[in-house]
Amino acid sequence: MLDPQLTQKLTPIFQDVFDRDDLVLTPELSSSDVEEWDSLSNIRLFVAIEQEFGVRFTTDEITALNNVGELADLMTRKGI
Amino acid sequence: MPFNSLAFLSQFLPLFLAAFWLAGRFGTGRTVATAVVLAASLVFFQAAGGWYSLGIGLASLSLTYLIGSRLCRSDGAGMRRVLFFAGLLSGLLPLIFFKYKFAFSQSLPGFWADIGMPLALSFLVFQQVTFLFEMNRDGAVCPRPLDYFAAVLFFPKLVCGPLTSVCDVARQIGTSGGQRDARRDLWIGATYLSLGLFKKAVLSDPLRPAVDAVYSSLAAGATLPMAEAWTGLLLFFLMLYFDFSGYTDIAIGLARACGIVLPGNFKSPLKACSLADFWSRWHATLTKFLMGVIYNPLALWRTRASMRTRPGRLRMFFETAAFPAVVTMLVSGIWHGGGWSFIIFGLLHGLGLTVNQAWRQFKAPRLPAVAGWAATFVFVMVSLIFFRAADVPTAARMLASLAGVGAEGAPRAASLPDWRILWVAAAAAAIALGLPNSHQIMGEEKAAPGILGGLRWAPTLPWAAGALACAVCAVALLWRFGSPPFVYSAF
Repeated sequence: MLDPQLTQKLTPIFQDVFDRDDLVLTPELSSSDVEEWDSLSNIRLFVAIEQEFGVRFTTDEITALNNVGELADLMTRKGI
Repeated sequence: MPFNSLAFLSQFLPLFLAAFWLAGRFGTGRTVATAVVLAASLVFFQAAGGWYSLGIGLASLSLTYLIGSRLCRSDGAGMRRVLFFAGLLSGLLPLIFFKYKFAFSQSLPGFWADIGMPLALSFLVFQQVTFLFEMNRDGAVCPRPLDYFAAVLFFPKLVCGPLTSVCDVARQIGTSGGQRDARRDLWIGATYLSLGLFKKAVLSDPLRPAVDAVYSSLAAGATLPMAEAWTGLLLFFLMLYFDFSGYTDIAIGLARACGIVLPGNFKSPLKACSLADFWSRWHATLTKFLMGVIYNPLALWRTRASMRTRPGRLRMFFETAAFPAVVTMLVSGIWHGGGWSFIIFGLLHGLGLTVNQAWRQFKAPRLPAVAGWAATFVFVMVSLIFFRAADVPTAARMLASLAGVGAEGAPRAASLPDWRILWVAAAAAAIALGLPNSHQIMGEEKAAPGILGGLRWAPTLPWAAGALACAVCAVALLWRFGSPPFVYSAF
């Protein structure tokens, strides 16, 4: 279960980066579910999140994540 | 002692499985089973690569372990950075030396000029880099030396991968047999092994003489008639496909037989409808590794910079997409081997991925799936000329032959291969395109679409008979004709 407040902030970022207004975030959502989620848009997604939340991700963190649920966990660990 | 040798299948493997089973049955704790895995891996490494490869591998792994364990305990950010880069250099420098020493062999003393590439060094270095990344994470726990060496040297994945998390394999080896259904794992492992041997001995090896004949003619200065050139191109693709697919199945099956799950590495690449899709299916663990250590850092660096400076759309695309893709594939090409042909191979794929990205980014009209598939297939087949040809002039003659252009006065060689070879190729292509891949058949990946997509393994008599038939066919061919080494073992 995703934190509703975090979901509310993340959803427009995902929709903007992937250019998909109908995108609904779930913990299981991953790159295999969204056609536009390729290696480049993945990096753009993380940079957009960095800008919105004022955090910084390492490439190792980005590479290790598998889905939105793991992203939410990582952001929680970063104090967001 | 490659997997497709009778010595491995009839002596090493049964002895190892018996020792591993006894260790699990009577050993106490996880140390005994891990020690059996390590001992077997050392024996395998020595038998396959000799004392020379084993010595260099162990020295390199020991140094990385010392640095990695220190890195794991270190608190200061500066010290961690120094240790991390020292570890990377200690692994990468020997690899660069052995791959590119031909360029300066004239000036090397005799011994250094004569020694060859140690077996498995490339994949060991990749695992060492992975280990350093794992030890550099917050909260990382360094495995015991025994677990580390057993995981990195684990013989099923020693020579050509799949690339894995070192800590994960160390944990799995330590707990194997205790938490999983050992009998089911043995069934699954045996089935993977049978499929892999069948792919290698029945679908790949018979194509190799025809491919060798084509490239020998080209290397001798001949050009080929167009039909022969295109046939040779297709045969090499299928040969390489089933050679590597077969190897991967065998590696995964051997590991699974002792309860260790390795990641999928070969996921129906012939069904890819774009180049990016192709690389997510072909040697998927190497692609993920290269993405993690080269593409993502470069793309992240340039994307952050672009967000600050806000350049035009085109420049942003070149900085954030084209630059990382070309550098990543260039490094991949250089890793495969020395010489211009591998550099061209890497550059071609970097440019191909750039076009792939541009197509998406600039919203070009979407191609029908069949057109995307055909473009990907032809591009990959043609690029593989630079992978197979001994040098650039040979590759150029193949390209000229494909275009129907023969050098003036040059001899024309080779005729179409025997019809039996063409039947094997047709069967191989039909299997690659029409059947689910091994992971889908074994129920470890989402089922493939299509009529045969639902084909699923079960621990039943018909499946056991099918696997046994595959193994018998493969072993009969191995017995009669022998089997050449796996292509990727040369890297």
